[in-house]
Amino acid sequence: MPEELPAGPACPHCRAPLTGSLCNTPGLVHCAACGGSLQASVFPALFRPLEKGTSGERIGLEGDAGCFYHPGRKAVLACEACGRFLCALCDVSLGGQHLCPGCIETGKKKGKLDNLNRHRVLYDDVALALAAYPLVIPFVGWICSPLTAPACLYVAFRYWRAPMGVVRRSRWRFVLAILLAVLTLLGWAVLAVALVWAARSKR
Amino acid sequence: MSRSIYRALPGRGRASNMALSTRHRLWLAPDHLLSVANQGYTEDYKRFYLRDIQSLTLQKTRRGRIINFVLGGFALGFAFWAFYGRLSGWDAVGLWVLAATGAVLLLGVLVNTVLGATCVCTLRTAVQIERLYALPRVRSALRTFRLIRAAAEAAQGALSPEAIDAGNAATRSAGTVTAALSHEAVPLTAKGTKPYRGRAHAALFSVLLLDACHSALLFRWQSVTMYLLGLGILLGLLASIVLALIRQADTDLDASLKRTTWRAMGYVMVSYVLNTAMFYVYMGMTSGSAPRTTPDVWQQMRSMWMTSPFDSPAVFVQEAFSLAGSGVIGAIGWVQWNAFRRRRRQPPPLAGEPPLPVA
Repeated sequence: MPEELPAGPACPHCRAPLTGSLCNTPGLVHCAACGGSLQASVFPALFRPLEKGTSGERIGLEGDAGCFYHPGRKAVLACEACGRFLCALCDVSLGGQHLCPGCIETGKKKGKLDNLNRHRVLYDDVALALAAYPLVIPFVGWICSPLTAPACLYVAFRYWRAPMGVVRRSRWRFVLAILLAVLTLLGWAVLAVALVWAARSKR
Repeated sequence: MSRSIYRALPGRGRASNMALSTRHRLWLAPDHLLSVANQGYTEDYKRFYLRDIQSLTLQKTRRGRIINFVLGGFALGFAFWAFYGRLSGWDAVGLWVLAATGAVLLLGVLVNTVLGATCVCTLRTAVQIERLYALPRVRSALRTFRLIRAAAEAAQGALSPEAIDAGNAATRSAGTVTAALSHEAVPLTAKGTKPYRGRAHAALFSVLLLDACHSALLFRWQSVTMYLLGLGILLGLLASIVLALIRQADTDLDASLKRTTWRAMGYVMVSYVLNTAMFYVYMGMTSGSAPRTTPDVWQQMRSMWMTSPFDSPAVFVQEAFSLAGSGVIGAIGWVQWNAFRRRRRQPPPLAGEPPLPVA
């Protein structure tokens, strides 16, 4: 919900403006208005006016190169991925690179631009849950384990090379999940053999 | 494996979102701050570029003290209960269950005290104010703020108190700015808009209240029929929870109602574990009392079903938990569902009129 805020630094509790002496302190300070304990770190961006957007300059001279997307606008640089000429409007600066909207769209779809990744499925956690939870849930889990163990092996091998979380994660969960699933299946196999053997010896 | 550009920052926190709980953590990259929200099997990311961060604020809260007060109160209650049971000559297993519950609550108080004071931290940019759920404690928040401040000042430069006062004076004429409070309005997962009348939720909260009534009746009447009825209610509860959880996904249902549904799910899981544990405790008690004439399982179950809660602390704990859990969650759910239904019935405000107040 949009909310009215003081333009400068403010107390998070009562929204009273904070003076400079109450900002960027190493520890907690008390708000002069409400007395609440707080710490506020303020940076120059707070007082910097917002940059105005640019629409790209129109081509003036006949020899000027035009933008690939807006032929009537003057090209100011080339996309670092595809080389297309771009006007100031189409130039998107991302992670130190200048890219065109087309390359950003493609990069986002293919997952090549890490900075645009907003969501990841953690298949290693899925595999570990499939292997471990049935073992720790009494009765219902144990009965389900002959189904969940192969499902765990499928997930582990199918998604072994899938991208992990954005922050570095090792594959130890996959390894542990495979180990647990194999042990579960071995346990069931031993149980089945023992039951058959017991039934035969009774006869 | 390529070397990660991210450096883990101190502090981890949890937040109730659409799901039961979301784990949050902050990571620092050379040019941005990454907020990771882990929902168990998926992760959502938000990036705050250091050059765009306007301010970081920390507000100390009383949540930690309130948690200590509540947990301590319950721990004291269980201690008195165990003491009363000892004076009344209750069996040892029941006393151990009460003492262990009190000890777990006391441990919670201890851990909460060691973790320190609680706080709410926010990060402000030109277009948003984002709550940093990863920093729920003052100690880790101060350490993290020091690291972010150093990185942000390296990217933007530092502000002296005089410069801040001058900036305040210059912007005073601007009055206020409008920013989206994203921690209140925009959850990390996209908000659904599918219309839903909430019938599955009404059924769920009705079954919960029915379960509470059933548990209350068990204090007076114990019979095999009553327990079989309880089993039927449990199956109905499981079915209605699954149905409600499926139906509520991507709908315009209130977030609080969705949270209550997830809490009902958590309660049923805890209840299942508790009931299983109590069953074994009871089995152990009856087997231990007559080791040479151990009855079969059916006889033991029948005897447990016929036991009055006032005769066995194990059965008492089980029934009291069921009565309190189902009653409280069912009642809260009904109140929230009715509020949601009333709000849906109200016509939307006309253009230019202020929005209707939310109860």
